[in-house]
Amino acid sequence: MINIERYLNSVEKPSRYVGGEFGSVIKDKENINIRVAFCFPDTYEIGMSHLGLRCIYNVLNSIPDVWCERSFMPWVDMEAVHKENKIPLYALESKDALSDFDMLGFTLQYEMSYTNVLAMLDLSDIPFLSSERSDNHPIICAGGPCAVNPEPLAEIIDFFMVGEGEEVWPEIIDLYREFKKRENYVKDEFLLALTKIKGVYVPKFYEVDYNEDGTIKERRALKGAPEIVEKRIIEDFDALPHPENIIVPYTEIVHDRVTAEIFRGCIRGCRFCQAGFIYRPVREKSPENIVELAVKSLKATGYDEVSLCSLSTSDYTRLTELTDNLMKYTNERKINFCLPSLRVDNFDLGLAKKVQEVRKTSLTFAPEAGTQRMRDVINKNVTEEDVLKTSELIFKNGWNSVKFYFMIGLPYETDEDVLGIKDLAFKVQDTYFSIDKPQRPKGTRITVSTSSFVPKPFTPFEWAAQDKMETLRHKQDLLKSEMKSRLINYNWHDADLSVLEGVFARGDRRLGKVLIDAYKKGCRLDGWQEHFKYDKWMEAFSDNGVDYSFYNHRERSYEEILPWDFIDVGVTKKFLIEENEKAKKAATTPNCRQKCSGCGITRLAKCKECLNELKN
Amino acid sequence: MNLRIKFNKKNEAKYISHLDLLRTFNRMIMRSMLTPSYSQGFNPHILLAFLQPSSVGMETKGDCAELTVLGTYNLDEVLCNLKENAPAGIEIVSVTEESEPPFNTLAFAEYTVRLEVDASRDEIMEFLRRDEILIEKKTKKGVKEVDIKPLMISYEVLEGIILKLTLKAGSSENLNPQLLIKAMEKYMNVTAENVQIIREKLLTENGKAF
Repeated sequence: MINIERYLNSVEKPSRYVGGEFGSVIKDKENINIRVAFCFPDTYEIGMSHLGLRCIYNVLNSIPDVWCERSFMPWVDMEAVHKENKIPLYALESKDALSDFDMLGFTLQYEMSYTNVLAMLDLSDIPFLSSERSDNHPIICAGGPCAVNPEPLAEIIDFFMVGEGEEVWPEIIDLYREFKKRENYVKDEFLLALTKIKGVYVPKFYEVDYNEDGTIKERRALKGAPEIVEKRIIEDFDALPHPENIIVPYTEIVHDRVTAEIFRGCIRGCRFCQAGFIYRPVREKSPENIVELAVKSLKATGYDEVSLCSLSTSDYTRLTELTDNLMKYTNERKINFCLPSLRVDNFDLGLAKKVQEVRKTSLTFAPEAGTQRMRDVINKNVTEEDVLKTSELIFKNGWNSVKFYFMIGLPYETDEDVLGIKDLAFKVQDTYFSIDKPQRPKGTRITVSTSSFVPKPFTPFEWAAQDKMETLRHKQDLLKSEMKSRLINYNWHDADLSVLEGVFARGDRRLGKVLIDAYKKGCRLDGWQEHFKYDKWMEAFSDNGVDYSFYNHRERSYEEILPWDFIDVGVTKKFLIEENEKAKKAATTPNCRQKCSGCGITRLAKCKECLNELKN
Repeated sequence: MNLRIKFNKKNEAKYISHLDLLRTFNRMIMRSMLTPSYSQGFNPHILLAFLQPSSVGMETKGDCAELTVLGTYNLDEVLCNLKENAPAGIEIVSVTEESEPPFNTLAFAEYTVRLEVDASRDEIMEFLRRDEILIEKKTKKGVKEVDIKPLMISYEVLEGIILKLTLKAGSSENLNPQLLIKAMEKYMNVTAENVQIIREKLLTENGKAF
């Protein structure tokens, strides 16, 4: 047990480092056979907000001989305390060093957290490379959305879990228990046996050859490891136990509330959105189950806020029934109920009004692109009329704060499309002024935010060239100079981060050495603008002879072997090619409820939306 | 019904701020059998207040939270129920019914301060005995220099080094021992390390503990 007490008065928000929260699980080490640390490679406030942590923590701790604890990336002041005093990173429950654990499981939520994985290993005195770790080191594994392209971390992580983790974890634990019992436990034997579990990818059992132009020539599976790794899907999502006993932090976290997951997957198929493809098929939880679970969670935690969680929440088939029943409970107890971002084409005024009964917030919409052509390219299926009609409706009903999210740098985008964002914002403003003065709210703010598009694997844009930084800056400048109005507030995200995100999103095994070198040069907490060191990253690329533009500024051909081709997330390459070809022509695809587009997911699981077999 | 929840804040809970303590209590009450009263207004909140806020890192004993609830309760049951719903670092000591919150009657607080410093007992005592101890204090209006000596009621230095202090507390006059340690560092030109502050008691004007 590590005692850090004497250092805690000198760091910011020390309660992040002490554990002991209500709902955290303490077990007797005597009765524990397998110790796992769920490692979130970002700060406590971010990691503790993550629904996946809540799910897996409960799944693992429900196994009697397993103790799952938590560890997070310390903030820079605490990181310095660890380094200066040679205090190893520990798990919050037992305060034992991570190096004493059987397994460390990292969740990969965004590419810019990869250096934090290294930092957490470094603080634990665990070698970065899988090949440099002995049988006595913890097994390092990872999951989460970024695991659909695990290759940039192939040399670092021992095994990946692709897809949903609730069912695969217990299978892995059962296998590990068998191996740990053996007198002559050999880690590699365990890892090889793991390859037989669906959804598990062990990178060391694969070899990759490259062509002279740097593209992949061939991938070979060794020792009988599967050629294709199929993602895990929870078939009966409604029956999946939801974490009721959430840990209640002492200190404020980013999403400080009960989060009720209402469905997985998405019917929409927006072409830029990786989540919309990799989480298929759509599976809903029944309103009865959601309300029951949410109420249990609220009672167990004492939280005064609950939110629904899913992609495109307004597509939930029984949303009115769900919100009515949940709000019967929350309103009576002055519990705040909130919804994530809404769609402008099926905006439900009644619902929005109901939600505002407890506390009034601003409304957020994501048209994503400024012109109709561009919205058709990305298959957003939202019209200008939808945006303006909804704007009029909300202004007339007293909301004076509305936010719109857009992307710049989308494939096939022109300056005209970018300026369309400005045009749309001004049309929303015109809509506001067209309402008679007594009828419209005062002090209205229209907030427009743009983020820079990053092409992701398993989307129709996985072959696309990402905009260069100069192009993105030019597009931001266009909007900055044109979007001048008292009512409109324009925010943008820095473009340099998206360049790097793009490299790792579609990267391959050869990036591992760049990552390690960048960490050694001082890069970590890259997702935090104040700690992001673009120059150090560029240095790491050039020192290692890696051209980053190969990964993000190059349009790939359909024939090229992509680093993630060996992963099967359900949607087929054929479908993604069709979608990209339609994007080029600005042709849209109807959503799954209107018509099955034959994405391929039915090969892996039933899809209630289309009930169709794969069409060829 | 006005309830006084007496509690100790220790271990992990030492490191939470006053705002976090308020949040922690709110949630504990929402988990419990109690039905709290709410303030009127746009953002209703539970009618809950602490007799005296404590700083991050400070352990407290006999801390008091004053809560207004709807209905009547068996206080023994409430005590058991709150104990079950309290996080590890919050130890619920007692629950009593009070006619009204006693905020005006708080006058002093007793502290034990352990620290590591390169100075002897006598040197520290000499500092504490000064007629005037001036230190810069952050107030709402900015930084100003104040004399904290009149706020120090009694003081003692034990081997260790351990300081036993009785300082003024409450809303009108209050001295945080952290400020006194800062003054000591300044006057004696030393650095205090591993400072551990325990607030032992909250006292009324007549020296009665709450």
